[in-house]
Amino acid sequence: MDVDDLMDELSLLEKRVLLAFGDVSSAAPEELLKRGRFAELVEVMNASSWLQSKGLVTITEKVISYYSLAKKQWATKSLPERRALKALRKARGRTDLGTLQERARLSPKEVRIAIGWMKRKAWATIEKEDGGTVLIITEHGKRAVTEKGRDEELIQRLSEGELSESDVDAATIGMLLRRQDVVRERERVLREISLTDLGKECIQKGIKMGEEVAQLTPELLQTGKWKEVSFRKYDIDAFAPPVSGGRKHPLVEHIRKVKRIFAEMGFEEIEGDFVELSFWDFDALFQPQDHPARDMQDTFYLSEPRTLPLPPEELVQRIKEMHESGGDTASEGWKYDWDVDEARKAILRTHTTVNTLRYLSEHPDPPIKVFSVGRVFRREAMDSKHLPEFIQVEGIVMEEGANLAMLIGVLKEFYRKMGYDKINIRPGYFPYTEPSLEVEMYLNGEWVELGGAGILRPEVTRPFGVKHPVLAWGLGLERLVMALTSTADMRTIYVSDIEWLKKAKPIF
Amino acid sequence: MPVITLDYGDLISLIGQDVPMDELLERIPMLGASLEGVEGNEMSVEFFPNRPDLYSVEGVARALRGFLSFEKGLAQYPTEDSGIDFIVDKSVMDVRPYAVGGVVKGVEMTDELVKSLMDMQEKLHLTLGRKRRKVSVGVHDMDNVAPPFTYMGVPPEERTFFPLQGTREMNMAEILREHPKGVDYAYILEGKDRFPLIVDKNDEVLSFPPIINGIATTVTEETTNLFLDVTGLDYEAVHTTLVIVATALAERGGKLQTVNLHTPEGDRTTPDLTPKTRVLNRVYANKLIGVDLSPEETVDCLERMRFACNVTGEDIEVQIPAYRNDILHPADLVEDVAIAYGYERIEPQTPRATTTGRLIEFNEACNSLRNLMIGYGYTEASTLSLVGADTQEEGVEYVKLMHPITTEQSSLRTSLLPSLMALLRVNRHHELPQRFFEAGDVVIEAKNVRKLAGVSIHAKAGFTEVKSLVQSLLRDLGEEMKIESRKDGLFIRGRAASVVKGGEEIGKFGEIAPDVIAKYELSYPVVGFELDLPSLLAD
Repeated sequence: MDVDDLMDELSLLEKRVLLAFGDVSSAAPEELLKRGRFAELVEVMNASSWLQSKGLVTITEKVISYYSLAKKQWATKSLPERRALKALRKARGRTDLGTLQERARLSPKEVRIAIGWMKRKAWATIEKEDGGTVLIITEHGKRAVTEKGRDEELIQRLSEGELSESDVDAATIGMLLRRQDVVRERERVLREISLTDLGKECIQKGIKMGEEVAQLTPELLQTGKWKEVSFRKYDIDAFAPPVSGGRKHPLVEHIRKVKRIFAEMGFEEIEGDFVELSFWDFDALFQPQDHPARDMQDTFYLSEPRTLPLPPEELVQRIKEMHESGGDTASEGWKYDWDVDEARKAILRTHTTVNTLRYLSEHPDPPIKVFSVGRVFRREAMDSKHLPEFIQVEGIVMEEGANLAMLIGVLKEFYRKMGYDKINIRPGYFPYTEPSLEVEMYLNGEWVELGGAGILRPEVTRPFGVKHPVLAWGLGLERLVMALTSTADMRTIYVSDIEWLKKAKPIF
Repeated sequence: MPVITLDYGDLISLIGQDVPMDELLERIPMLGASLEGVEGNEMSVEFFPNRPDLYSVEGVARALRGFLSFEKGLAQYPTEDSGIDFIVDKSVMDVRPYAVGGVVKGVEMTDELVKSLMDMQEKLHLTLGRKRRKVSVGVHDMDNVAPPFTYMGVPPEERTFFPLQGTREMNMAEILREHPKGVDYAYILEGKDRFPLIVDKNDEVLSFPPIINGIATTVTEETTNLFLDVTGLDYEAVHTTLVIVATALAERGGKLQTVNLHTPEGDRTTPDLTPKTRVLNRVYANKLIGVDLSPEETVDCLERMRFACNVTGEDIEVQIPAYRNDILHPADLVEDVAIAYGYERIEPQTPRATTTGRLIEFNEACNSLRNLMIGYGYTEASTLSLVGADTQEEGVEYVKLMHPITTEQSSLRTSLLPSLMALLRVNRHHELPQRFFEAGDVVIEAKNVRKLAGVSIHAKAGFTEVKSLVQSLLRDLGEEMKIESRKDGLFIRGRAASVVKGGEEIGKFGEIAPDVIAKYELSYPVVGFELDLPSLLAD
């Protein structure tokens, strides 16, 4: 990390510590506290230790002894030997040892101390005389009467306050320490904070001061104070909770995409109702009335409404003839008695092809390109692969010369625009188209059947007066959505777990 | 659709040419089928309902010999007269009027044949036979019975016989009540005062169609000569089925013999293998497919699909084998030409007419509403239209299914709110708040009506939240919100409003009533709204 980065990362406290050094390169924390006008020593110490970890300062520690008087009396009271010297001087330099205690008003213990120290300081000598012991002042003692000893001077200084080991003469304090109850010694750790070369370099580069803030507030912005503050750097790797706002449903978005693509390909959107006539859903599509798809097992017939009004009688008649004998086409028809009551039955549409048929019946002239996307219903129990209702993408092309190759072209173009190139077309079967085909797509390593298509049988289109081939298709969407959203269970699309909805990628 | 299991070895021996399995797997779908799966030597293939002649390995082999160019044109099945009379008595006309018969001699009942015959019968019964109602097939060892055979209608309790897979002699009414097949198919004969029966010269029962055969004609490993009966409601379907079964057996080396059929409508000889003819115009075929095939190429395609052809100018007279009942119109022959040519070889084309693409404006407007809802933080749902009748509002008319699969899906919804409540229930173990909306169709008076609804669930969900939302939505659409107080069991009394536009109610919102919340197993307050989009978006 270079110096600039290092300086960018300095906190406000760290900067203040660096600045507190001023022109010295090392100082005690207490000194920095004063100079930097910190509120508490702990601020200095914390910042210093951060600085040390960044290599800008070093912190060293020393143990130092401090001295003070052990008893307050020493501030006013002379040492015992001093009192004894005074008494000796009064006795003209000579006194019987036995009387010293009384003369100097010393306690018996003090007498021993006084005599010991007078001898040690060479203020007096002890001599035997006539079987007694006398104390005789020395020349040195005589001078000492008016002159304080170094130990006494130190006591006086100590009476004014504690002194550190550097303030006192080691020998003198040693003398005092040898005595009982005169001086107390205390050890303290003394810290010293010193700038490293890097620290000095930072200071030299100039430390920009200013208030450091975490949050840019309206107040900062409105007062212009933002110019003076610096912003605390964040750890950009810190956890941030995910955002989940509203999400669009992947199936609905796919429907949108499909519609857009067909519109781009020149198709017009149409739509219709869920509730349909059997007539439109089956009969008009040339599905014989005993066809298995019309079975109660496969189609939802309605009890309310049970029937719906049929289209004009003329059209119904044409459909009837088509089923029974092929009408005016080259077809044989299905050769059975067509039952109009079967055609009246109300059902839920089984394909959106009903929409296009209705449209064709009203628009028999070319060219026509329409599509619809909507729900269709099949009587299936719900499981992971089946739904009773699902989306069908349905469309037709009707123009002069419309052909199977065009149908393949339209389907491939549609899927290409959806984003899929790997499409397989193979023969299929639907009762109302001929030729018919099935569309498969290669998705996630397997071929998925997407739906069917074909050219509407002449038996289907002729009753509406349509004279040209009608290319038609009905494609599924759910399986595509499942593959794209890695969904194994088709039910998830309609009975959606909110996490699934949130996970779905946007579709475009 | 029926799934046929093809044994590779059996299929190859019937084709008579060595074709690698991979090639078969690739080519069979291009003949018109869906490959369902492969397990060892067994290929499961789904064939389409218009080609019951492919519901057996023998039929598939016949088609593949042509498709793969080993053998072209009509498959030849020489027939002889068996001299057997099969009489259809008028007593059966009201019951099950049609019956045909045929004889196959010199059949070797190998495991493959027995399996194929059983499979084929089952598939034909299910599809072409419409679960035996329309067509049913009986296969008999004819050496234990004596012609002539008579098909007649008999009162249910008049005759007794020992049915196949039975335990004792029974009359026909008993069979319908007690025999497993009788129980399964009794519905077909419901309400009939006579039941169909086929007996021989000595009154021995061959069959009680479409239920069960008699024990006398049980087919065993020793059987070599078969009598086939096919009965039903539609002569063409009945006869085609006989041809399909008989020619399949002929593919196994059986010798076909015809039966003299005597019916109240006249006499016939069955099976009748005479091909039908249809004229296909080559130009029409080329135009419909979008290719430019020469007459020779077109004929080659048709012959590979096992048709025979006679060319006259642009017209091709096509002979259609009797086992194909799906050629109703020349368009059906065009498809066969396309299949033989190969769908994969058809060069895609583009429609030539210029048209203008157009989306329904109303749907685009609805889409803008979706965007607004997303902006308000709502997640889109797309729920099922089928709902339980118990979710319908009291007094509202709704579409009812005649035969629902479950009570939860027995009607079409008239409101989106219950669907969204059910969605909240599904998500009740997830983090709150949750906000869902749906723009979807409900069905009122059998017509689709687009609605927009939303729900919000969280500890502090309240009236103000939903009022703000609806108000904002309306404001964003340039509408001023007009509301009236509303009494509605869905909402808490005094905390519900109707949205009004031009004097008409176009929506509602409020705090969902606690009993409703409890019904959906939820334990947090829910607010919801629903708007009628056609009214809302109308000028």
